Amino acid sequence: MSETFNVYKGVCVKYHNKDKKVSKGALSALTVSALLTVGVASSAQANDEVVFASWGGSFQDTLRSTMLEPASKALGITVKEDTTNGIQDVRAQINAGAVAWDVTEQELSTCETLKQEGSLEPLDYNLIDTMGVPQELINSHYVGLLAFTKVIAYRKDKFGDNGPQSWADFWDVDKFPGNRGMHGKVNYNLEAALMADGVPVAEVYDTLATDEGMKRAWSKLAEIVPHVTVWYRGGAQSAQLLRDGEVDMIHMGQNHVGYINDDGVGVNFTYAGATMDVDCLLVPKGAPNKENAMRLISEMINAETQARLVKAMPFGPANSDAFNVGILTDEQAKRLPTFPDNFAPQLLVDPKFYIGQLGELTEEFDTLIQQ
Amino acid sequence: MSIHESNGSPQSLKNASKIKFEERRESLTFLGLSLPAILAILIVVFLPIIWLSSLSFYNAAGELSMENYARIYESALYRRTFVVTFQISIAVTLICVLLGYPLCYWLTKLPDRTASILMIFVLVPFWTSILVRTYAWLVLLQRNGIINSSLMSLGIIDEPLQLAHNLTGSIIGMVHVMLPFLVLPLYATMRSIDTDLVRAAVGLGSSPREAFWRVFFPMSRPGLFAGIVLVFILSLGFYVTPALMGGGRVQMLAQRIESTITIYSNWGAASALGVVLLLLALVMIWLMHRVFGLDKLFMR
Repeated sequence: MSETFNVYKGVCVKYHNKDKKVSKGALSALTVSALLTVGVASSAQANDEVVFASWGGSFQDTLRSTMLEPASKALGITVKEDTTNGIQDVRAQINAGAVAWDVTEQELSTCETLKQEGSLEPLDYNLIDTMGVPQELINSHYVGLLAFTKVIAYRKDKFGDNGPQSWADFWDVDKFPGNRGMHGKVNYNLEAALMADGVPVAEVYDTLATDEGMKRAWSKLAEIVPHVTVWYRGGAQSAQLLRDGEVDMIHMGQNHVGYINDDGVGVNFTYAGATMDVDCLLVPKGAPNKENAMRLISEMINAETQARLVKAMPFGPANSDAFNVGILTDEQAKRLPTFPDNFAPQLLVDPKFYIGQLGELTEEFDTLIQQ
Repeated sequence: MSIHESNGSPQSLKNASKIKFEERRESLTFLGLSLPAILAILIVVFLPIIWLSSLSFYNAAGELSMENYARIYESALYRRTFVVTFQISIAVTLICVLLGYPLCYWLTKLPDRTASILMIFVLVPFWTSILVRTYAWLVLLQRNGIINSSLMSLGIIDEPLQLAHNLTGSIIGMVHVMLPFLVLPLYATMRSIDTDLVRAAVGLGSSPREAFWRVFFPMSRPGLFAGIVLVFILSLGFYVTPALMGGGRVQMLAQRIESTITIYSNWGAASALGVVLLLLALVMIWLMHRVFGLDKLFMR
């Protein structure tokens, strides 16, 4: 099993541990020395900016207000933004020898894949303060930013409060008739199929590691395929589908669920069998403003910034000290997916599972869902 | 000028060389004028195509191999994708012809002013972003969309029809995008047809139907074929509409190329698909040339 599995336990345990303090003095001393180094070493036009790319939309708006703008002020540099669709964007820049991004947020499996491909700059932990970030989220070439989870969400006007409470329910088209939506990627769907087939959360990846476990996942997945109305492509689309009633239940990002409720459509969800993954920050090889990239990362993972982010959107913070800086109320902390009660029934996605076999599995998946 | 007046042999020789010189100068001038365009096409179109094609012969490890093509040939997924791509392209082209031909014919019968105003209605969607139009179709076609709710409130259907997120939705969306590509060349051709010829045919005893099929239709054919070629070739490489309207299960070639870029670390896998798509498009153009005589379309 992946070592990242312990991270959340770490986060949860440290939740009430309020005696840690981030050493501000050390941090600013680092920043000053970094400023001096940058000023001497790099060219004049490049040293007052940094380019950051994330997933766009309302998510990136939240990153901007909670992380990027405060970081820009604290560091005295301009943070320029771009959006990414994933691993291919980073590869394209590196292949073309025209790297435009200094820092980008990607899924953990992407970070690990790119690292193995030799496409990442090593992170300079002399410039990045990791105080409060669990060791499991700190890698030589990337560092955790947040944990996000995809839950089974359903419309209350269809099911009341007694909608599907597990993957077995999601698969049960007699007990829960209605249109279903799932993400059109193989990732997490094989896991969901096994859970629907009765495999306990803790045994999902051990089962998938065997040939017959894999076969079991595929045949279970084939059962639900005719009942899936939409294999959606992105987070915003999943929210639209549930809001407009195009689907009655859907496996979607928990951070989007709140927005649908805000729009006046009653939606409920369950953490049972939810798939939790981690996004990380990386610096593509050949990034134009490397030092600034390190300093931006340092700002983004510090406890206060992390607390501001998860207060605005329900993610799990990568920095467990986020609970100790007085920004989150207990009530707010309980709504986060990494809160112990919420975390317990979830599946923690193993980022290494798909590395090396993503192409093969994606093609098998696409064959299965193709019309 | 004195060119045509002169008959004397030394004078005519002199004029002949002068004409030759003029011709050469003219052709050089035009070459010079088109040079920027030729260079732009060479640099922006041909070089990248050659570069991408050469990539397709390298595997993930950077070795020369036919691995990428072998995968396309062996995999049921890719074969199915090619079949679906052709099915959709043919269906879209047929529907565009069935909708576009009567429309153009009707437009040519209208007074110029009215026809121009109506042409704007054909062109307005042409100027609107494909994304906007596709989302508009989603709003219309989805389960609680306007079409389903109207049909249900009229009592025509009890259960909402599945119009979006499938093949039907993809084809509806694509026809809407492609229709102007058929209408524009076809309408231009029809406008240039001398309708006196049709009248003459009727005057000589032909029935109106026969006059249409034997006089008007053959003369409109170049525009129709040009439109068919445009729509079909553009449909082969279409991406946005099936990606958004297909519910994830309608997968055309362009989507497969995108997905291949995402899931494989080498660009060769995707560029091999691009090369196959390009070759297929060229073969289709050649076939259409054999059937329709495209050279007559473009060199009138």
